[in-house]
Amino acid sequence: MDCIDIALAKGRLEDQALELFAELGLTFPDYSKDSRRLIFTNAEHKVRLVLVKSADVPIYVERGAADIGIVGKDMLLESGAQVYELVDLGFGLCKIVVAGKTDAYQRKPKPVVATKYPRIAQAYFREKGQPIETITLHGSVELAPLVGLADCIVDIVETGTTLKEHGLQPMEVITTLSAQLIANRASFKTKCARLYGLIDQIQGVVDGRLADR
Amino acid sequence: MVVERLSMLVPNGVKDLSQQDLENKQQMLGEIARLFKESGYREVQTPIFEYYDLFKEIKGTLEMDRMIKVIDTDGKVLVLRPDATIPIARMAASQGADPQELRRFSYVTSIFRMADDPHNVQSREFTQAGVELFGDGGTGADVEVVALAISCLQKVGVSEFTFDLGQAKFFKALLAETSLTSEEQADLQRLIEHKNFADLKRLVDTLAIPNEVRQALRAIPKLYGPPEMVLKKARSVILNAEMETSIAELADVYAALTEAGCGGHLTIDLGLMGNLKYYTGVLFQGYVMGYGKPIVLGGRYDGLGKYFGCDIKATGFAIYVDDLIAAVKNQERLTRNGLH
Repeated sequence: MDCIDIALAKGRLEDQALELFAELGLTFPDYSKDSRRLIFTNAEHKVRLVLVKSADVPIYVERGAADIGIVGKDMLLESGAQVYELVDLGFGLCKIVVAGKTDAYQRKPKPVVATKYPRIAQAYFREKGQPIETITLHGSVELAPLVGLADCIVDIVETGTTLKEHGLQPMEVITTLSAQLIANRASFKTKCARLYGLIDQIQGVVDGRLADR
Repeated sequence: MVVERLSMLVPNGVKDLSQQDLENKQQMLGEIARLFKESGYREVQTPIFEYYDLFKEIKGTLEMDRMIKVIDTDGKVLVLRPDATIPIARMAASQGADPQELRRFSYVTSIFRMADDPHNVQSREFTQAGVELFGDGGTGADVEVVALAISCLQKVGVSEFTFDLGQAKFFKALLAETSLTSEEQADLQRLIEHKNFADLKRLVDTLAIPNEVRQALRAIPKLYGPPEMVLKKARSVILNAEMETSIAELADVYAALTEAGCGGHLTIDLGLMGNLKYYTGVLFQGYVMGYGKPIVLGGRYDGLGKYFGCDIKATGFAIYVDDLIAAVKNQERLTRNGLH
């Protein structure tokens, strides 16, 4: 029988995803946060966990390097990957917002938007009918308006503390997000029996949590 | 200073094939072409240049932005063959034959599209081999082409693969119960195809549609898996005669394919719709174990002939040959590593 490969986004979602697996009795004994290893195996269930950067999860799954993946909806929207989005896992809740020192960017003919999510930013402003210029940054996006690099930012916000600390305010909410269980379309068709079982179990845990709330 | 010599480089999205690679490809194509011929399909060829208008008028079949365009000497816009089926359907319509006459066409050709995937080394020019069967609207024709597609994979040595059957009519007949805008319909289709259960529920809850349609829409992405089970479940969400017929057709096709010994390779997914402006009946996709993309796409497209003034029933499929080669290599690698 073949192995199921799971791509998991490192960082924000890692702990909660592992908690979810543990609830299913799916543990990875050789896993530890400090380990430099990136692949962990559960030999009993024939499941392999691959830890990758969150932005890379959609591409691992789309290309079939992993059968399923757990990743934030932000990365999914940004990548535009063709995958099945099977379960809204309900954790890792956050928002994608437009934030600035003021709302002055709304009156500029073509404001400069700094973001990790150029695709989401472009799509949002296109729908609004406002042309923008995007600058793609890979971290500390909130810095950009402060040093005059951009008029506003598009970024994910969990609590809003980081924005506040930098004197920025969320002006518009683009969408709310949570962690998603995604699947490769071919794996879904060719490894059906095993994958369906795992997906049903995950859905069961998520439904159970919702009912408890 | 490094001077970039473009003459030394191959552009993005296309590649050279070495002697060995080309010989392997030709051998595979030879086997497939032989099988087409033995099954009564005669090879045809359509031009590499076509008028942009040909593809533009057939709305929603191909993305306009992804066609590779050139300007003709008279200022008209031409495209490099972005699809094999549409030109062949035109050929079938313009031959002046009786639309009821059975005609079997095959092709092996290069297809050109703008690279939309930076991770794919061969996404701007790729080879498709396929067949089109004109003049038969019955399930017998559907069975014939699916069985032929399955034989092709077996012939080139693919051992573990799955063909997923869908039915475009099922979703269309369900939408007939509503008066949704084409935008809302497209959103529904996208969410169903991505099996995005959470967003689908949210959308369905906001639409002004009867409750049983709401239930059925939410059920569609769950209607996948072993054929008997799916057919049974699908019958429980049927709301009108057309939906009933569509499921009966699919059941017929499945039964005939099972009788032909293909049953073990089949699953059904009613959430599989492909391009609904194009497909009008039973459609299918072929997947090879361990390879992330579909290798075969096909289905019934009875509406296409009308664009060329001739109402012809038609079905067919295309094999993505470069993907098939990669999938076979991948399969060999997996077997060698003992992962299977």
